[in-house]
Amino acid sequence: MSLSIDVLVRRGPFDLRAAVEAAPGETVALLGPNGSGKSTLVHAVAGLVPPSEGRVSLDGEVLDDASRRVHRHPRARPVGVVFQDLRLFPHLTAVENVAFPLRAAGVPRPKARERARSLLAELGLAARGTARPPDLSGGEAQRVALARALAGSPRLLLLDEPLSALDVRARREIRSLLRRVLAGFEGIRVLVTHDPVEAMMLADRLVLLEDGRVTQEGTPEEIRTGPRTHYAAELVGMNLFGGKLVPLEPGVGRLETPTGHVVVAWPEEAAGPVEETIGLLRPADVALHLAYPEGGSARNVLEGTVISVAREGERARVRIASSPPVVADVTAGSAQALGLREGVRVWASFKALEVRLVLP
Amino acid sequence: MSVGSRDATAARSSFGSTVETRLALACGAVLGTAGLALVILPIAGLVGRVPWSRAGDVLSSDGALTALALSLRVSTSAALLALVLGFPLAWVLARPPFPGQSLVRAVVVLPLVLPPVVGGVALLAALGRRGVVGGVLADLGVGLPFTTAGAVVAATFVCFPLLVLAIEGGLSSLDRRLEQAAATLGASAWYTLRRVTLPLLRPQIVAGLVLAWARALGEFGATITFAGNLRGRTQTLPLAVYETLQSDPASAIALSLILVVLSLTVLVALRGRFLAAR
Repeated sequence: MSLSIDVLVRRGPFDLRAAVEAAPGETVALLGPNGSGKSTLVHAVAGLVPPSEGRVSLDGEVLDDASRRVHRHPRARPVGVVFQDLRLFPHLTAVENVAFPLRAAGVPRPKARERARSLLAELGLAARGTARPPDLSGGEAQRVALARALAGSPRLLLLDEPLSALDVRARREIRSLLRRVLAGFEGIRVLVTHDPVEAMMLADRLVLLEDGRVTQEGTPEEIRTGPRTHYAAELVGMNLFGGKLVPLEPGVGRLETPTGHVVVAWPEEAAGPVEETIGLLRPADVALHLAYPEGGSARNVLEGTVISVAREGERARVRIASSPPVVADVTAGSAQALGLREGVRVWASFKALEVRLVLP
Repeated sequence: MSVGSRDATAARSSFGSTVETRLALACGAVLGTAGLALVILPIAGLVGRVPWSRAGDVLSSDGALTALALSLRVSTSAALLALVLGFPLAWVLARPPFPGQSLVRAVVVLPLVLPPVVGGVALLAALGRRGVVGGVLADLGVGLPFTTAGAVVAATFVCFPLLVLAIEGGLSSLDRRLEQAAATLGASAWYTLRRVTLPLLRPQIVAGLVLAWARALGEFGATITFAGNLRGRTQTLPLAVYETLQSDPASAIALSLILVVLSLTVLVALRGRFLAAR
């Protein structure tokens, strides 16, 4: 019982060759930069683009098999898609949009509408059932699209960049809604995104797609500890602090992680302490010193010993056993000038402002 | 080109553009007014010569009412027939290019540029009693020439390009991604057509119907050639106007007024409602 993709899809000069597996109850994130082939893969699995080679099967049912000329029509696939551009029907109300897959399957109108209404209510849109898509806000439209994809009771849910078109506030709302919906959906969940934070917050497993090829896959933790490509390193090589956010002084807060505290800028939208907050810090924003840096503006100064120094071209990635532990990127020249190597005692500093906060 | 001379060119062209814009606007206003006058003057002339004292009698005469009723029946039937025949053609023309597509489009548009009389002659050659298809139809007991059905065929012939073009325009600007979305939601081709494609095309279908109807209402040449001028059967209003003009020009003008008012009313009411809002 699983999704198995192993395809070659040609689209003009671009070709995508990807093998991805996903199991029920699992959320897999396809993570990659723009143009890496993520949407193409979604379209292939939905049946909108037939693969040139390879197979797609779901729960043992073959949806595509290029060698045997098998191509199941999109309408005959138990797949629900939330498109990046939503594709809501502009002439139908929210309820009619959500009822569409049920009506198409022959469910009588009153029953289909009732189901659509209850789905919309579950997603917090009970009051907007009679609105048409042009009158919906970005977040509302996203909920309608999600409800519509779920309405047909698919066994596979494909979400293509579900947060990319939203503003910051709606993004937070929809992200926590998605967490709830994904947890409650019993089939296979595939999330496509270019945002590593979104991927790490919503997915159990990441599949990295670069230039039409899968370059790495694994849990966020696995990829963080052993990134195989430059992109993977950039993406998940970020410092990630998770814990409770508490106010410290006006405009400033403290993120309390199990391994130590980090000072951060207080987010406007938080009224008081927030559990399960994530702070992200780019390694390149961490400065290293051989002595305690006096008189600087950085609110965070962490002391620790160097665990490892890994050179990647002109860059050296330094892991430091501080509390909490951090990773810093410095130029190869600086690493040499400072004499950085395993066991050296250093002070890592970074500004509170440089920690990007993601509230749950 | 050096930077300096490019600046000079830019300055000159922006100076020139204000004068030229004004000149163009003035020319446009004059030409536009002349164009409007081209349409309004004859209509005004017509209205000015309506014999108002007799108009009531003429318009309520049996002959006029019969012709009006027939005209409405024929033009409505023709517009609906054109929709049924034209939709699949519009669909084919809006598809990605295929060999022979431009030829199909040229053939479809032909009735629009062909003199209607020639269309009538062509219809007679094909569907007349001794025509290629007409012979077969006559053997089956179906006679089109000089029947109301023949008048409908003649009107359909001239008006259906308008419908095809209107719907083709709608189809090519239609968001095909919505049809894809419908497919992923399990909709059959028929359900998608009924619930997505047709509702989204409604403004273009209505516009096409209105234009085709108005064109069919005014149809003269093909009708008189193919269907003749038989009172109560093929004599539509334009034919009645033409016949009356020979003996009683004043009454002909009164009859013409019906056509003007009818066409104008429908065009203003429906086109305004379905097109202006978009």
